[in-house]
Amino acid sequence: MPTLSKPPTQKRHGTLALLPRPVGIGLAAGGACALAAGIVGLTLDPDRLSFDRVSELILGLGAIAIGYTLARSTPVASISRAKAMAMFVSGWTAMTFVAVTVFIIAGEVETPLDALFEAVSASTTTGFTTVADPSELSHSFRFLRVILPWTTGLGVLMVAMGVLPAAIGGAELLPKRQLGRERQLVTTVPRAIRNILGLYLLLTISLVVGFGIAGMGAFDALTYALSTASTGGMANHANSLGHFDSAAIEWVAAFGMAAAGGNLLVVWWGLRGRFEAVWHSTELRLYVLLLIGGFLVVFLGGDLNASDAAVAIASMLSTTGLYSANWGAGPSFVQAALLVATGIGAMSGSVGSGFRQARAARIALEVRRALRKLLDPHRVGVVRVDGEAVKEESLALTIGYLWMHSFTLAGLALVIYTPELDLVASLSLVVSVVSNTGVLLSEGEITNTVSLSGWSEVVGSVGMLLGRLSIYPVLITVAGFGRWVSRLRPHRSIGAEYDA
Amino acid sequence: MRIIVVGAGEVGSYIADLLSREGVDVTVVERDAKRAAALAERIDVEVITGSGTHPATLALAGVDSADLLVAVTKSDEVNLVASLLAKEADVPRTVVRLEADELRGHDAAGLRRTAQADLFIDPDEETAQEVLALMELPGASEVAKLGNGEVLAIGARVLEGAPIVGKSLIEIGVENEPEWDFIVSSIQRGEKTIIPRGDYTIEANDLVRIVCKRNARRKVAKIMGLERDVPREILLLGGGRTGELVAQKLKHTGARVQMIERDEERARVLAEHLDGVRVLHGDITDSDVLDEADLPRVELVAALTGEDDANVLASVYAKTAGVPETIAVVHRLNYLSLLDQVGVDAALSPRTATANGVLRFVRGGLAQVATFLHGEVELLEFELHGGSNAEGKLISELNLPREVLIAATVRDGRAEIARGRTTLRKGDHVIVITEPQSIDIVQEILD
Repeated sequence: MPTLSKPPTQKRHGTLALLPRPVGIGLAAGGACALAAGIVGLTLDPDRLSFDRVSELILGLGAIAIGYTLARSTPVASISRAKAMAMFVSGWTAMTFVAVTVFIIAGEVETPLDALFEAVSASTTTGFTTVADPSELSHSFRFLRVILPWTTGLGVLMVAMGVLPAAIGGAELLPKRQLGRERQLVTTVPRAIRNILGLYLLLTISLVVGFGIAGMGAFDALTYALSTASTGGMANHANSLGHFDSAAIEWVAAFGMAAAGGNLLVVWWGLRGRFEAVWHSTELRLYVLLLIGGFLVVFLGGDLNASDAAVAIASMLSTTGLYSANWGAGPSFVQAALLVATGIGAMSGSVGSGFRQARAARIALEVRRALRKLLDPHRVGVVRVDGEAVKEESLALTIGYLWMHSFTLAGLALVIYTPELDLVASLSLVVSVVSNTGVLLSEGEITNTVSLSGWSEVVGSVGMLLGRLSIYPVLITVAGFGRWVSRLRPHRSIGAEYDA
Repeated sequence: MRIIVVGAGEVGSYIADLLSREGVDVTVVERDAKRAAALAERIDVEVITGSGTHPATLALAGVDSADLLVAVTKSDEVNLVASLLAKEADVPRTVVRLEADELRGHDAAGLRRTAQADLFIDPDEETAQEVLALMELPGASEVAKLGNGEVLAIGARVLEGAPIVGKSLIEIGVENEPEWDFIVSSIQRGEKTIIPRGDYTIEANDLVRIVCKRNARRKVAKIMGLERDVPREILLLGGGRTGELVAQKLKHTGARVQMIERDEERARVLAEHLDGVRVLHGDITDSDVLDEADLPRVELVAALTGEDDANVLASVYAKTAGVPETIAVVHRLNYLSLLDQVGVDAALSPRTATANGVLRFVRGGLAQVATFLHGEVELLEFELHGGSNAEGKLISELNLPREVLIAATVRDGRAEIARGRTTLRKGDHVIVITEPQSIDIVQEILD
């Protein structure tokens, strides 16, 4: 006998119901980093074996277990962009929570706020440190400082390119054909994970081998490779790559950073011999132009040798933050060029961050359109990227982002109060924080090491998170949270004040 | 012959008018009562008010005894359904207007088969093709392609100083012996159109139609005094579907194309779709907008909007600003004589392309028909069947009347200009120019 059944309906998920999975993944990622650092400590620091190492292992295992349990919640096929962003931010927050806890437990930085700043700096691939001489840190801690950005960098690539592009602010920057399923890189989620991980590992392993051949020891080759591939910029030495004073190492680092700042899909096309597609990428052409132009400015305009100049431009443009020579004492236009380069940042679809070149290109094209409109008032101008017309709504998002980025820079410059820093240093700090580069220009010297007040460390951490998460997701999540809180308050009916 | 025309818009009413004047029994089906009444007042046809998708309406229009149904409303869906219903009622042939790319493409092949139409026509596409053909031959006022594109009929008003002016057709023939690759097929002088013979002399200001092999078109342009470079700076007025189709084709030729469109949203869509085409938003009769298009640099203006007045006005303005070549789409044919005087170089109508398709069936047994806005002659393309009266005969043996001229043949894809000593064979495509009243005679001879 036939029975009537209700037709299937699309289940609607509240934001809270969606969070366990990303939070679980974030916890597990942070836990995996802690566990890896603990294992490195057990292996390489037997003389420094302490309660901290054991704690790292326990914390790592615990975070993985909790994270795994949470992450096993049902995946959701289709969610709104705002919810995707909330998931991304909450996952990142969970990972940061584990990272900060591990940094505090490790006890190798002076205060909990230093630990917060250091952990956020590492996880956001910024590379600022509060440690004056990182070479004195344990192997475990040095490894932790580079495996964390490497892991988060992988996470950003996975989310942006394959799993949930809507979660990342700036997904609209990727041309349709890069997000589409037809380009083989990301046809399915498992394939996306496999291909992205494969490319990322290929770059990392190439760098390990390259640094090894160029003369680094095994541990340095591994850590600098992780730092370079992730554009993290955390160095094992006080004067970064300058410690080695080796042109070969500098060239390997320069090429590695340039590759890490490039769009992964364009790299994929290149490896597949699809050079026509590579050539037609507007953003890649801009990236190459900026790399070459920047190199010429730094090399010809300053007093750096070729390998140092290459490291400087590749590092600032990809927002890595490694350096091999002090460019802070050179001509001011060279310093300005490098700060502008880091202000623009890496390509979209790369592990690097910053304002991103796709946005810079769009804004430049928008300016050109506005100028043309002045000359030809009736002309219908269209901004094209990679031959595709950019929708007006998408352009509006980019312009909106420019404003938010500018407000963020201005706001941070106002609230970061550090008496020791002059105006140039403060501005370079703020630009470096928001672009996640991690290079401070102060009194003619460049450095990754900063000494900030507790307040400035907190503000700086917020700035690094805003920069890494592309501002939009954070704002949308905060706004969504505010709306949720307001709904919790009891509604007052009209005339309630009279009832009282 | 009984024909039902579904849709009394521009195309439908033109076909109905054309056929009714030839004595064909035409019934028009139109949903809009006002438009139906207006048509019934204007031309001598039966008009039924109702939808072409309703079997009852078609029955009322006499679908059971119709020989041909022509569905030319602006709605593809209505046209397809009307064709389907006609085929169900055993109408031998249907012609369907189909515009949407989605329905014309490979994906909709099944749907088209289901509709069982014998011919799908797209007036916008046909008009766009005509415009492009005219652009390839600047100075020409008409270009028709026959014999699968191997034969062209080029019409142009010849001016004083053109190499053929003052020469008789015999003299022109002698100059081009032994290999002819063109033939003068008709001459319009004043209101009179004639199919000339050898002793006829061409005068300045004659509208001359020459049938030629495709690869002789430059030579023909030269003798007609039209030797100009193909325009590279083109301004299209109107961003409707025809304009978009023309722009799409042109942008691949390396030409610098500009387009003016009045509707802002449409202009934006065009600018997004047509990479490399400069789109201006504004009215084509606004001189500020036209000036912004840098008219002195423009080599050809094509006015393609649906408004005749605007098309003509803008073309005249462009001409006075020094644009050497103007093409205008006109919908009301009583404008035609005016266009010549004001300096519009070529005029074309979306109606004629559609009408040509329909006439193929009305005339029967034809591969193609080309009619012209000026003059009464028609170019017909016959495929010679086995057992035809003309099979195996020399053209000189056919005893053709004076107002009929066999201009060319296409055999195995190769075009030849017809001469008295040409022998016709089975499978030949024979291109004939004739006056309408002699069509029956031609059919008798060639069928």
